[in-house]
Amino acid sequence: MTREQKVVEQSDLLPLLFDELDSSKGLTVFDVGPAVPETVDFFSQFKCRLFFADLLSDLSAEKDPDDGKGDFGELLTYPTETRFDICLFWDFLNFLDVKMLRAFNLAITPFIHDDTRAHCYGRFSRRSPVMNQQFGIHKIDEVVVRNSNARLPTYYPRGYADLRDTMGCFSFSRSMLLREGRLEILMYAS
Amino acid sequence: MFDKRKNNEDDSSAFSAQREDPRAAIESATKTSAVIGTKIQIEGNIIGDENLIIEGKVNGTVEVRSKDLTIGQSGQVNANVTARIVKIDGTVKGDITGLEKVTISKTGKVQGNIVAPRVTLEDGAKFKGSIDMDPGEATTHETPRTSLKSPSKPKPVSDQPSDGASANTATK
Repeated sequence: MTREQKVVEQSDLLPLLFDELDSSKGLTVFDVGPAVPETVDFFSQFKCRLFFADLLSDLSAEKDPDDGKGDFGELLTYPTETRFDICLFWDFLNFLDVKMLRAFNLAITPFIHDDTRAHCYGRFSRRSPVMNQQFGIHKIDEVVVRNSNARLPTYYPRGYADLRDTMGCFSFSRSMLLREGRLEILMYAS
Repeated sequence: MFDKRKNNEDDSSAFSAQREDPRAAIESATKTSAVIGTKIQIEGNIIGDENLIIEGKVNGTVEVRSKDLTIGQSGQVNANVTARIVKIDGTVKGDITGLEKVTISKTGKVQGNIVAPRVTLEDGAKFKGSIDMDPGEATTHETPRTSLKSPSKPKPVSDQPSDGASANTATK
């Protein structure tokens, strides 16, 4: 994939995010990444409220790596009644150390309800390479992946167990090993 | 035969009109729209009932409810804006209400909340904030491209303790 290219990947777990989800009342979706045209286009067919947090750029912008620890509460300033039906974490969790992972879990917990589903990418191995990519939903079973030249914070490749032990607001349901050591994970509110 | 040639001449003149169209379209748009030029800065509320193009700076609010609003490439708007159709080629910090549609083009940068029946981002557009869409409010009604199964509570599979990938991990 060249810098400008985007590729569309099949996903067996993505459709499960939407399985038996009542869209008639409207979907509330949290996307940790920047807004991607395909995601906006996909959800435009539903009544929905999309929150694009672009947290990686906030983390990357900090001059002191210690500045960002525990400040997710200041970044996730949503109306108190907000509850996400779907959370798209993409590979964001691989750029958080353990302290920041726990802080992120604490910050997102108030916005989760009993039926919330979440999707993220982990890494099968600590040797899995860092990838500077942006993700979006192309179709219900397809993820669009773009190369990005955005500045990245420190890389902390996270395995299944790491994420399960720190993201306590979710129970980890299924995972799928993809190419280049990427681990696709489906989670439900616990 | 003459009719055909005449048709060909009509086609070629139509083709050259199309090629000249981009410049003509801009000139035409500015003729039918009010324009806040690049060297104009406005502090305050703008309310109007005609199409508006903003190429300068605006701090405050902008409301052209029944008309179209375009934030041009050099436009910098620090305001809440409301229009029938909103197109953003420049920079907006504020809430955007499009009564019909909002489009952020490849040069557009928006930080704020968008409310519209339909929102489109072009490749390269930058957006941070929330987007509220309800296609049911649009003038044209489209059936969803994706149908979701009827709801019932999902049952998560219990995860297996392991140091590496889960025992539920499938390989692709």
